[in-house]
Amino acid sequence: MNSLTRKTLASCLITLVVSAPALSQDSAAEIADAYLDAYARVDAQPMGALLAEDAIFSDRGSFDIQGGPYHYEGRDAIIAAITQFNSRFGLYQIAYDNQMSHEASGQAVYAAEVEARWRMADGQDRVGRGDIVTTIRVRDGQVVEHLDMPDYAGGTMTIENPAAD
Amino acid sequence: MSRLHPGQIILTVIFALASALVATSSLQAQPVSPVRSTAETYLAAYAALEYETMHGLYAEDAVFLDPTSFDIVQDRIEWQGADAIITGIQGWGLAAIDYQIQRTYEASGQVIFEAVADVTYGEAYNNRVFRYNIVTVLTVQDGQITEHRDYTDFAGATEITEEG
Repeated sequence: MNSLTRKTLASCLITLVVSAPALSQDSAAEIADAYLDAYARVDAQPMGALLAEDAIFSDRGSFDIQGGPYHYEGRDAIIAAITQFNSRFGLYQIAYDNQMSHEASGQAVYAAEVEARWRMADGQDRVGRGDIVTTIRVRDGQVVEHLDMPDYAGGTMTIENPAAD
Repeated sequence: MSRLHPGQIILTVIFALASALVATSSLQAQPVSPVRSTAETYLAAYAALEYETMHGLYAEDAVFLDPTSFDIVQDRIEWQGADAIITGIQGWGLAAIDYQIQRTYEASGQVIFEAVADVTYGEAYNNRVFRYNIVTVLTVQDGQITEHRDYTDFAGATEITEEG
């Protein structure tokens, strides 16, 4: 990279910050938010409507855990997995309490405390809580990539009454 | 409330000190994983702009990328190999990076840092300082950094002035 190009890059970054308000109107953020909202409700139908056909879902925190990795390529594979998590294992909520979220270049990021709930056969909930970073990439109005990085080791798992509606 | 006599006070103080010592010892006893150790060493070098140290920690095919930059700068931040990464970072004209880590954890060979970064650009940019919210994900394999992935809140950045 020559010095002119380097200076151009630095200037672009500074210019971007100075002109930030003009860049804040980006529907990619709304699409990512809508997708995450559907994901949080484990609602496959609206998720499917927002996912690109060749979308990727990868839980990068699950590569070394028992049962992992949770990695799916293609809309059909992602929706099949979500549907199975719900119907077979009772997963019905992945609530995000965002501590930090932002979007640029169609790339949304959510750093959150998450509460996942599985309804068990006895009517009780298995509840997992922990930190997570989720990134959602939007291209041409569709979600093309969903990456999760949960803190599996630092999380907690309890048995509780179902959450109040 | 009944009053404590001097003996009880001494015992209470000793018990408190002992409890604090045990708590401190248990904190110190928690081993730092090799993955976290490598990631923290690298992040400290990155923040200090110690390029030689960084170069030595990169795997041969290491990648440095910031997907939030892809559509907003002409030369998106996505470099492969230590030389290209160092050259790219040097191109920013930085004088300092102050990483204030809000949360951090390790997952499957990655260390995640959620932070506020105060970035000082050099004399060519009048030493202007910008504050960014940032998520940095470092992937470590065999004691080397294979991926440095940033998600930077460019649009939400604010310029820090001397007046604060």
